Amino acid sequence: MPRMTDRQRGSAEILVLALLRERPMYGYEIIRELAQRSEGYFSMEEGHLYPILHRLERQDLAQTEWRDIDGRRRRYYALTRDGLAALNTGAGDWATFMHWFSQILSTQGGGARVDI
Amino acid sequence: MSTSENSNGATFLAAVQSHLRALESTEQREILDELAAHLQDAIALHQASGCTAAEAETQALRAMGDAQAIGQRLRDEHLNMRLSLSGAMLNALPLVVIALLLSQTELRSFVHDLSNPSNRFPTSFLIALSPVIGVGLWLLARTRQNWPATVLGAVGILALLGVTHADGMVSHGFSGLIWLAPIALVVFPLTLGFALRWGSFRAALAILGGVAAYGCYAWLGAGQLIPTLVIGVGPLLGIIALGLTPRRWQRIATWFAFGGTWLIIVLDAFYYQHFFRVQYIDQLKAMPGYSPLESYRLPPMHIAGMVSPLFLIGSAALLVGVQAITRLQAQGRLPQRVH
Repeated sequence: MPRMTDRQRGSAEILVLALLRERPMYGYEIIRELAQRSEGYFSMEEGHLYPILHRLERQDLAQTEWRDIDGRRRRYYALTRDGLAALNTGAGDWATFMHWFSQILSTQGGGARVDI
Repeated sequence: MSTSENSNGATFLAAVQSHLRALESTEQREILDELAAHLQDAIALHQASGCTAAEAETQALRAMGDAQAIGQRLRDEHLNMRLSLSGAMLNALPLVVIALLLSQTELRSFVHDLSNPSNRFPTSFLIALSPVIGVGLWLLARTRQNWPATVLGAVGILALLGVTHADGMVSHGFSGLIWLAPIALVVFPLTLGFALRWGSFRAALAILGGVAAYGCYAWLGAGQLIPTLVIGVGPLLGIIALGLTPRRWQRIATWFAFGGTWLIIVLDAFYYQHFFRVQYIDQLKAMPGYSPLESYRLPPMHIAGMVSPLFLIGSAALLVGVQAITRLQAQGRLPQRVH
């Protein structure tokens, strides 16, 4: 199963926020959902997920609570109003980026060397 | 459970914990509990697919990755967040509250001095502002993650507090020195040391010592028990409540306490200058043997001076209430709004 590249990792916060928009989730559930929905393409390491989740919480983009369900104690993350706003902004930025990225790639002669 | 004391899971968690020592104990515990819960979920899933307990644990740990890397990332993330602007604001909050209280006392002296022909202006004004300036410098230095500047800011605060207390020593004589010297030389440096080392909650605990010492000083100076208790207990409760308040409410609470305290300081100064002092001078004039020089004597502590600490007590009660609601929500005994 491929691990996430740096580029994918940069968008990980948006992916996590997008999942939390549906319902509150705990860490393991987020990793599983990401992998299942992308047919294994987004396979996030735990070492990367938890710092992201904790950052989202500190930035008030997500809020947490411990829940005991079926004898299991888990920390659930839920999207806040600020988190929803951040998701909308981030998703918009990515859509714009993808639009122009595809536009340039599809331009004839786009295979030339690119200096950034 | 595969994260029992002698399991590989426990070894993994211990390895993670060894990288988290710079964090507060509550932060460490939360992180480790969360990782332990994660491991249990992963192990349960592997066992459900037919693995033995040992195989399930091995696979779950393999998926978790390197304990050292996880521990370091989490530690760096939390330390970076602590040094962010909002984090620094929260860490500095107890100091800001103390600074405001000190400023309030000195600000009243300033208002009084303005009408005194032998006034100490701008000394009292500088003294009134000094704790705020000092905390501001410290906050700025800490926010920019510049440790030499942070130390300089801390030294600056100490120097400014020293000026404040030197003024107090002159006013109160040697008996004041006995109380002020330990505050200036021991309590505040320790407080700052704790604040720089551990951040918010432990710093708040350390500051309690400072508050208590300041309360003793106020008692000594004013000789009145109830105002002293109000001054001492008000910020103490406020600081404890702010320290215990869940993080997502702390920012709002900070601005509430900050804005409210300043509003009351301004109102208090206005009341003092235009009403209380006038009444006091009228009372002095009515006394036999009145001399105009007596009107420049600082009036005794009055009820308006207790408003600001009372406001902090109110803030504390509010924050404790908020915390209670949050806990009840976490326990599922109150409905929780999830956006």
